[in-house]
Amino acid sequence: MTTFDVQTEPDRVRVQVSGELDLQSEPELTAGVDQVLAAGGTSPVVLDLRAVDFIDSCGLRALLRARECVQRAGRAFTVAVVPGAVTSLLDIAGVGDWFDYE
Amino acid sequence: MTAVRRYDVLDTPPDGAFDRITALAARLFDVPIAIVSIVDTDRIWFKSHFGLPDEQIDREPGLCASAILQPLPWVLQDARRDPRSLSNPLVAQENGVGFYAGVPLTTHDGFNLGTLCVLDQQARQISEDDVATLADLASLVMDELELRREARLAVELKDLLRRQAEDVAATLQRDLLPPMVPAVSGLEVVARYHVADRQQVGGDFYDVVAQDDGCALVVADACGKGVRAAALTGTARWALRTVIIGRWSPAQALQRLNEVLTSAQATPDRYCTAAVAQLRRHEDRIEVVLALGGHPHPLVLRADGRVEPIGATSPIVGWSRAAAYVNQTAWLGAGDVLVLFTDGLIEATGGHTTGSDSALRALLAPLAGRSAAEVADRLDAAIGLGPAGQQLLMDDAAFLVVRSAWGAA
Repeated sequence: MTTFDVQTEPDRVRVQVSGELDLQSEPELTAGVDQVLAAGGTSPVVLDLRAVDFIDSCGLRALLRARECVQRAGRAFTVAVVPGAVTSLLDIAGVGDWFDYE
Repeated sequence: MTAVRRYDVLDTPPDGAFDRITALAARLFDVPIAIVSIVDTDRIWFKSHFGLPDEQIDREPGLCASAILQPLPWVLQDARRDPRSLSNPLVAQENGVGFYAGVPLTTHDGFNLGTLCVLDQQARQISEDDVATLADLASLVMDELELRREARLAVELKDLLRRQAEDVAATLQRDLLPPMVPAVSGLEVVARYHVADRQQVGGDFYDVVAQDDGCALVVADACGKGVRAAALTGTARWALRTVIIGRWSPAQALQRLNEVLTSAQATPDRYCTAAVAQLRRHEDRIEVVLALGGHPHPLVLRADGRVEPIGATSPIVGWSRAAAYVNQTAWLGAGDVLVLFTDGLIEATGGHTTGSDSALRALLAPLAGRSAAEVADRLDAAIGLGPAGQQLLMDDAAFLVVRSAWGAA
């Protein structure tokens, strides 16, 4: 079960994801980020992955796509993580330094 | 007859819906017998027969056999005196049919399959209203027949689509894997590949290329599933094989593959992870030059039971043109076993959300000294694919197990 929650904070927009990021939830994350960008604004977008307990290669693709889309919209993109499934996949995938961290 | 075949109703078991309609008809018309009949080439078969033990009768003219030949209700108020039916054996026999009213069961495209009919031994009067009621009941029978036909078609269609999907997946998959692992002099090489879902082409693939002084090994995983993943998998597999045959080093091979995949996409959309290894025989040991593209570290099971990850992490392949790949060298001594695998094996051995290879390492440690085939069998068994195993894979899993042949004394 995966949930997405968008919170507008004073200086940033936070997209909070919990559960599993995989083939099934990939389209939802992509749609969620599109929605944030469609609402306009220039504040940084934070993808908060601290409550994600499983991520696979499709989940990683969703993160990379989110990063592309937000940066193409001219906005800063950061991720919030805690050591666990997300950080170990970013390490194995060799893409840990492609992201800025909150 | 083609229409009867289309509804595939002949000789099917009794069915409550039709039995309720004949019981209702018998009660409404206050007659002892009501029948749903289907006309076959040489007989009249009863889908439902209230008040009559027979399941079928000969196709003699006069009753049902005549009723289906015309579109209107077939009514014989006094069958024994009616010239149309008096010679029918069922009418002529002792206590035979004295009254018959049948309405054809007409398909939406105008074919008569049989009748709904009510019968009595006595001659009787029947009003136009009664005939209209009988026609309404016949429509109900026809609706039920349509429902069953549609349900059957839906099941057949679903079955056909499933078989086609499996066929497409199997065909694509066959093209993505080497037909057989080539014999490599001095090395024991075993490949295993397991799909989680036979209807979907997986993104995992492996390759083994024999070379004069050893071999090159590839284990890779294209993200996603289905035909789109298969297209990427095909591109990656053949691009890698091409550069490997050209004797590029593993890091150079991944660098080339990254160029091919990034230049094939206007904006990054798909990527793969890969482990590419070049094995060369030396006097008493094997040199392993390894490059990783965002791929889990291969493991070496030493002859003394230690399990070591090898290779230096580099980024996934096909997303960023800036990615750089590096070679790292490891050595296999006598009895050492190298295992290259996709993350499906980590997930299958360690549990869905683990992300760590510690369960796989623990599984390998006690297998020190075993042959490559024995190690592969043990891994198969651990992920539920043993001789009696039921497959429980969440994701596809591919792995290669390699051991120097002279270590297996």
